[in-house]
Amino acid sequence: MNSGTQMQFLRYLLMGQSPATLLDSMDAADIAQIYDFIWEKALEIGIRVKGEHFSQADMLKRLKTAEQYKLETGCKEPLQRCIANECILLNADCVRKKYDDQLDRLYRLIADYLGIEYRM
Amino acid sequence: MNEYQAHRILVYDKASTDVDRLVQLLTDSAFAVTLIGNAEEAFQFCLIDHPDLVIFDIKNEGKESEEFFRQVKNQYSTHRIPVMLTTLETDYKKRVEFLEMKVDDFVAKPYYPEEVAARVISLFQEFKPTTLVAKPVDRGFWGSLREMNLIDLIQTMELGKKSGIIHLNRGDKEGQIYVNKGKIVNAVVEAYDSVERAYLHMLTWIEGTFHVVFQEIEVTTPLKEDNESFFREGAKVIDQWRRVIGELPSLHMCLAAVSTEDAPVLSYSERAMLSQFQKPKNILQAIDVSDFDDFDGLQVIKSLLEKGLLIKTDARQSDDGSLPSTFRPVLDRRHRDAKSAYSHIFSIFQRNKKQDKHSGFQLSMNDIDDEKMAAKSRIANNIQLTKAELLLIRQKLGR
Amino acid sequence: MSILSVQKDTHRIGEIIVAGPSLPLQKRFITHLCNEVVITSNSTVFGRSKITDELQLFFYGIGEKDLYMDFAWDLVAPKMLGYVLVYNWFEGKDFTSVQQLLNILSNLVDSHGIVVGDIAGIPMTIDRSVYESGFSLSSKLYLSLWDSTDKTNAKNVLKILIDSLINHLE
Repeated sequence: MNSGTQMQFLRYLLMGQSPATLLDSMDAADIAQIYDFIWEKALEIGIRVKGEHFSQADMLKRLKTAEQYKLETGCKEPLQRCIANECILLNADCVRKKYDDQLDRLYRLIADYLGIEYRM
Repeated sequence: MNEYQAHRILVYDKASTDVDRLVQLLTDSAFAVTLIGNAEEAFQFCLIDHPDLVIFDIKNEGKESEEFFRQVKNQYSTHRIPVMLTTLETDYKKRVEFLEMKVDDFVAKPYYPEEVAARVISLFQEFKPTTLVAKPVDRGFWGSLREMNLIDLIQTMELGKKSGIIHLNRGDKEGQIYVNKGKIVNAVVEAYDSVERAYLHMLTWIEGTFHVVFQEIEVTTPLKEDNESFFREGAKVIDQWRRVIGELPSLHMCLAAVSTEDAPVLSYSERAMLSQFQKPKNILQAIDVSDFDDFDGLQVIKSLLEKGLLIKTDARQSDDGSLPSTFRPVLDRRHRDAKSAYSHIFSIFQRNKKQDKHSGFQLSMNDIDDEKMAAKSRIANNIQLTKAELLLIRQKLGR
Repeated sequence: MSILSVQKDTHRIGEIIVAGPSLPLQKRFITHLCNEVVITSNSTVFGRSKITDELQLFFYGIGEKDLYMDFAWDLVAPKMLGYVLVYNWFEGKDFTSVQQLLNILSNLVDSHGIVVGDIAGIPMTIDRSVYESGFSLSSKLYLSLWDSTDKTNAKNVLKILIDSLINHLE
């Protein structure tokens, strides 16, 4: 993941803008990577905004668990495969869809933290 | 009025009847004109004050004028000053000779004032500093030692691992520092037999000019000392030198020995130095012709001045080290010199595009399409400051 | 003892490159940090900031895009403290330009750097405490915001870069 792309996602995060357009041209593996990056930044922002009152559990509550996602998609694979993104080669679209959704949730959460309007 | 108003023109003309008319014409055109009638003084003026244009008349004393012109064109720090020749000479062959001497423009007398003004402006356009900077073949830079001292220059070359010769000119003396891939390999100045002594001597040239010419340097005997050693000692010498000259009158001030009947007891060094001032000399000249190192020489002169054994004389140089009062006041060029020097520093770091194609360092998105390839050629970076120094910076920036 | 063996070390210099699509922004950034600034005829800015008698920071603003593409990074990069890329935060075209430069630099130079988006007096709804210590893009690269209308703000940017260097040495 190059720094320019990371910066683009971070810029959208701070501007309260949905990353959907940025994701269009990316493959599932890249999206998974950028999700990790944005998760870290979300934690940083959460801590800076909330200070002592920050709770990672609160953040996680706003996201969808792998279990929920599996249920929604009707996937029969073991849960661990979904958590570890093992399907990234066999079923990239599914992984991609999972992260598209998670990123959207994360961006909305940060917009809330920052007190800015979220734009699609 | 024109865009070159306040540009400074030196008119070197000793005896022309029409020189006053020329000066008046140029002054009316809003140029700052300095008229000097002596070749040596005219050359000194070029060295120290760098006029934007020199106009000289070849008729007066022929050889002296020709010699002045050659000096200006052969000197690194002055050779870029455009020179215009005015002459009454009508002989065709003689005129061709002048042109072959590479004067930058030529005006035959009698001239129309408007023609001279137009030609002066045309020369300024031709010699615009930006034009010179942009020349791709010109990889050198020049400026004033007041703005960039020798250590700054060498550090700049070290940063870019550049090879070339730093030509220094103190006005009355020239020297060269040879740098190979950023490392000092030789230092040459008249009467100094070792690299270290020559280098240390040139460090004391806190006034004067420099011109750096980039070229390959052949290294015959590598020096044991590295640049860091040179810098360490250099910084110390500059510091000491500045401290001592701060306690002295101008280095350009002429001094002469005073003969007193009840002279105090003098050391051998003091007697030796005093003998240098039997004829009036300025401080730099006296140190140069003596056997003393610069710093020791300065200390001895200071002691002689304190004992009242040296006094100021009515000399060609004025007390403040500036040129004689016959020179008209001119604009302060320091700022412009600084700009020019920095501008040229940047030119070092501007790559020749042609060269890049071969070196593979041309920056373009195409080159980094393959990240693995790019990572292979990633340039390593070493933080040059210590942690303590970084903490000092951090402290200065505040919490 | 050789006169060259004196151990006193003086005149230490840290060099920082300032680049980006807008020369006026580079100039403003350098001016806010330096006591001495020279703007040259070929669109470059040089600034000097004295930290102590022995220690100085030099800032080189390298002008327009055409200039920085020709800049000899391979000559300067090995010894510089780091680079600062400044651009207008709200200007999409500038962002694309700085993004490209960042991609090139981060792949070419293993150096510390910071990308700074200028919010130029436009009040951000985001609290300053959120962005003033920057966001790390990697262990050596940061993103931060900067208000170029506030003279003291450039110091914050430099703090992030210096902190990054200090952390690296720890």
